[in-house]
Amino acid sequence: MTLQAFLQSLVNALPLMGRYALITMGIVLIFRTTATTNFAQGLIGTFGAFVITWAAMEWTTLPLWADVLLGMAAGFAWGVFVDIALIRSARKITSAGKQMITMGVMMILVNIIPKVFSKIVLNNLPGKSISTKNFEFELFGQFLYIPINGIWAFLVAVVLLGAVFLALKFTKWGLGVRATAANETVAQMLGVNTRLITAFSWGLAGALAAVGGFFTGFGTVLNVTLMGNVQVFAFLACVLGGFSSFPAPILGSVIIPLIYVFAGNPHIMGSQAGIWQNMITFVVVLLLILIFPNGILGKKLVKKV
Amino acid sequence: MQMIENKNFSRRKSVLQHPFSAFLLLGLFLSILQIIAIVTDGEWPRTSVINGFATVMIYAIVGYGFSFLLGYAGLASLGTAGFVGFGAYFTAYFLQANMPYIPYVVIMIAALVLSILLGLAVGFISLRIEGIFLAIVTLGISEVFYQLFNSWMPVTGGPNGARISEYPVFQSLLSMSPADSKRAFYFVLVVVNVLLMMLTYNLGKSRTGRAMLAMKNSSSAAQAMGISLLKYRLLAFLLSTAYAVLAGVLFMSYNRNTLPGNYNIMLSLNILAVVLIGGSRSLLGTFVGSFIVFGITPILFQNISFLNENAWIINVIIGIIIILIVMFYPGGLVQLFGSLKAQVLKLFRQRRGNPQQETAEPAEESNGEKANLESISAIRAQIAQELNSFGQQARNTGPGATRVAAADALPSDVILRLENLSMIFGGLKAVDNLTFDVKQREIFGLIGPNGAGKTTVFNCITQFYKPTGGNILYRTEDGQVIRLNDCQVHDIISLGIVRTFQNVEVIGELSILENLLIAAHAQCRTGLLKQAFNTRSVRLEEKHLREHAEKVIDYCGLTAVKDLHPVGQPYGVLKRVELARTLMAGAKLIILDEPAAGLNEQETMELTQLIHDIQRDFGVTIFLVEHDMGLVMNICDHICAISFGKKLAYGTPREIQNDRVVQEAYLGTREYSEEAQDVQHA
Repeated sequence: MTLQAFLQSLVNALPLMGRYALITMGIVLIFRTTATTNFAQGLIGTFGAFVITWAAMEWTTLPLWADVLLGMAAGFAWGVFVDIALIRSARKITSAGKQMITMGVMMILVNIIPKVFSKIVLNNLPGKSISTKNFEFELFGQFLYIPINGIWAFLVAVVLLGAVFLALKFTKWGLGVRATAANETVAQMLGVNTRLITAFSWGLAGALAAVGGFFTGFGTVLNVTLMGNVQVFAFLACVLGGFSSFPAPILGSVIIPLIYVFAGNPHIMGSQAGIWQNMITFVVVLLLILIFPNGILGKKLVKKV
Repeated sequence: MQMIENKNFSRRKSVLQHPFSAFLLLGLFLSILQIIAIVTDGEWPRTSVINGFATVMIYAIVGYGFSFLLGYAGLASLGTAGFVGFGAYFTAYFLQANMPYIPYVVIMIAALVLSILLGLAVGFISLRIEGIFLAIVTLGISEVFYQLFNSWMPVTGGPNGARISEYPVFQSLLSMSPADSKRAFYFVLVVVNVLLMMLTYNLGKSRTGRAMLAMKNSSSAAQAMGISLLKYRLLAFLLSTAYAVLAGVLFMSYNRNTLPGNYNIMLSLNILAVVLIGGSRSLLGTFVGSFIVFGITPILFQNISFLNENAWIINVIIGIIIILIVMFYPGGLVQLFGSLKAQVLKLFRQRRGNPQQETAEPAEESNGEKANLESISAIRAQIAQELNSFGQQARNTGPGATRVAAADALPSDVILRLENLSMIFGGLKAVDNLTFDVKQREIFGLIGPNGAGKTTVFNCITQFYKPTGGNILYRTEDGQVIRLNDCQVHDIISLGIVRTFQNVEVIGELSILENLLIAAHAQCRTGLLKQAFNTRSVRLEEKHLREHAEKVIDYCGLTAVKDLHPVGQPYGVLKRVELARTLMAGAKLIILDEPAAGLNEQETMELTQLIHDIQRDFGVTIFLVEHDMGLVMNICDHICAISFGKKLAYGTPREIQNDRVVQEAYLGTREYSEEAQDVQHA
């Protein structure tokens, strides 16, 4: 394998990292604040992608970023709705029970989204497109390329996630989230408005998912299964990194794309690589989880008796 | 005459009440449907309805297996689809047109054997992951299967799916026409379905089912009762895998073709819904759940063209049902029917103006007169004689040779010795070089201020924690000396050491009597297959255990509440359940972690008496941690006081009371305690 192929693989992983990290961050926010593993996260992303595309085609005069904001708002609203309507009343239910509630949400969304939106694709609308052309550049004397929409996916994710992390660290909301994550009852007793905190976390997760969905589906015919694989990878990223802190899952969503691009690299895996790419990635990630059952950065929690 | 009729009546009633009769009736109903269909040649019920019921049966089988995982072991998996698919593709591969002839039974058995190997491998990977993350990891594993089905063209046929040439057995061996073979195979489905319902029912009621429930409710109590978490998690996983693979084999044999898209996450979710909707431990409920999820569209709505063309509406409704059930009826339809039935009965009784008051007065909680306590104590002595004559079942005494220390390592009157025991968490020395002996048949107290490390000592002895230094030596009943550090936490009970917990750990989903049976888990010898078929030896063992448990319950004064569930019982009762559990396990060394915590004065007095009686009647050693100094000084023969993990003093209650260092640890500095004494003297 040449240096060029190696570097190119690394570059190929960047857009994936951006997309996975957006979904992963949402999953972690929801898990930490409401102890729910949200299986509808990918579908909220799909929903956001549909809304963005639909808005772009409906209101041709709006700039694309306004459509994206609109989709984020839709994802935000949906997240808040799920929290208020379901998760809030399910506080006494075990984590496994809440997980099943989100599976119910998933079942509903999977069946409703295709009925509400027809199959739509966003490309070649004047002024509404991000170029899918390659941006070529030189690194360590090697010529590399990256699709321009991929650069956007990576940069937007870095900016958004950076903002979320700064907010977690420095804002009152962030303090509230961390307090709620540590112990919801105590946080409530100390005057943290946990309802607002959890609703906002769900909403934020929905908004991030919408952006992730938009970049994943960009330029393809949107389909309800759009985020299926992304969600599975995002969940595995959480387990791989460790669910017990906010940055750890992001580490997972950086590692998995690296595995993915090398698993699909014909220089390593031979000409059949493309067919087995998904499967090899899954197997490698599962083996890594076997080595780190509590996550790479995670800690084992032991119940005191 | 009258009597005979009554007897006949009650026999008829008991036959009908036997759960198997419901399974058989269901099987009969399903068979009759097909017979009518054959007679009327598909006029009514239509073939689509029959196929609908076949689908319902196949996925109900997956559900029965899944109920071990979700209902008993409390684990949620999303890997089911992959295993069903494995069964289907495995069958498809060996029944292809160009394959040499292999008997169907061989294929089925091979699939099951492989499924067990597969389940073992997957289980070992995924069961290291805690709780809800298991769903995520198994989802990943299911994805691997899906990719395999979709991509391994030469074997699976890839996206075009797989197809078998002939219906097995009926077409290939008996040369029946394809349509007849399919009809005949329907009856195979019915038989397998009913059979698996029975086996599953037996296993659920057996000690295996109880052990899994114990694990789900309190992993610490389960371990202390000798239940290996890994073993039973793995077993639940294996069972669910085997059922899923078998269902896959049946699916392929009945439908003859399959597509990889069938085995995506939606199937796993649907199976989850099947079990949840029905009630995660009810077999008939699971069947109804399967009917709702997989059967409604082809069976009930096939004539309603609107719903038939818009199957998605059904799926949305199922999604809503799942959410509603989890939120309001976590017990599933079974719970819903149960509460409806109770409501109806209540109405009925009110109309008759004859409300049946439940008069479950605890037998012996009337007053705390000393005389009363003494008379109870005398009754106990009698029950104890019967209990002692009951005899323990052969105890598992097979600690490996490495665990056996030299027999003279302990003086013969010492049952437990801690030698320089240390337990360090990070930088914190919770137990620091602690050494003391517990003598045979004494009541030994470990006291110390909060945070002194008392519970840590218990956790080290019972191997919940692995000590970071020192030895714990224990003399078994037959005189062997064993180094406990080398034992596993679930082996401790079979050495005769049984503990209770600071915050009582009882199994909420089992009755109090069954809670006691859990404690006898380590004494049971019957294997899994025998339990599944509920053989005579299993029934005898169960009967023997129940009789034993009844006696223990009488002894501990729990007779009035024995069939109730522990949830909502007063703390005093729960503490006694824990004590009863130690007796049931045939303990030689009983370890009590703050037995009187949370009890009022009255309850404490009764408990003190009970502890005292247990020691007297069964000749056991009791080792307790307690903050109630009245209790400790009252019943202990020797006391060890510790503070910050270090030993302060050892001696009789009187010596401890007069020990300066102990007084300091409890009351503060010397000056202060002297002042306090001066005040007292003045």
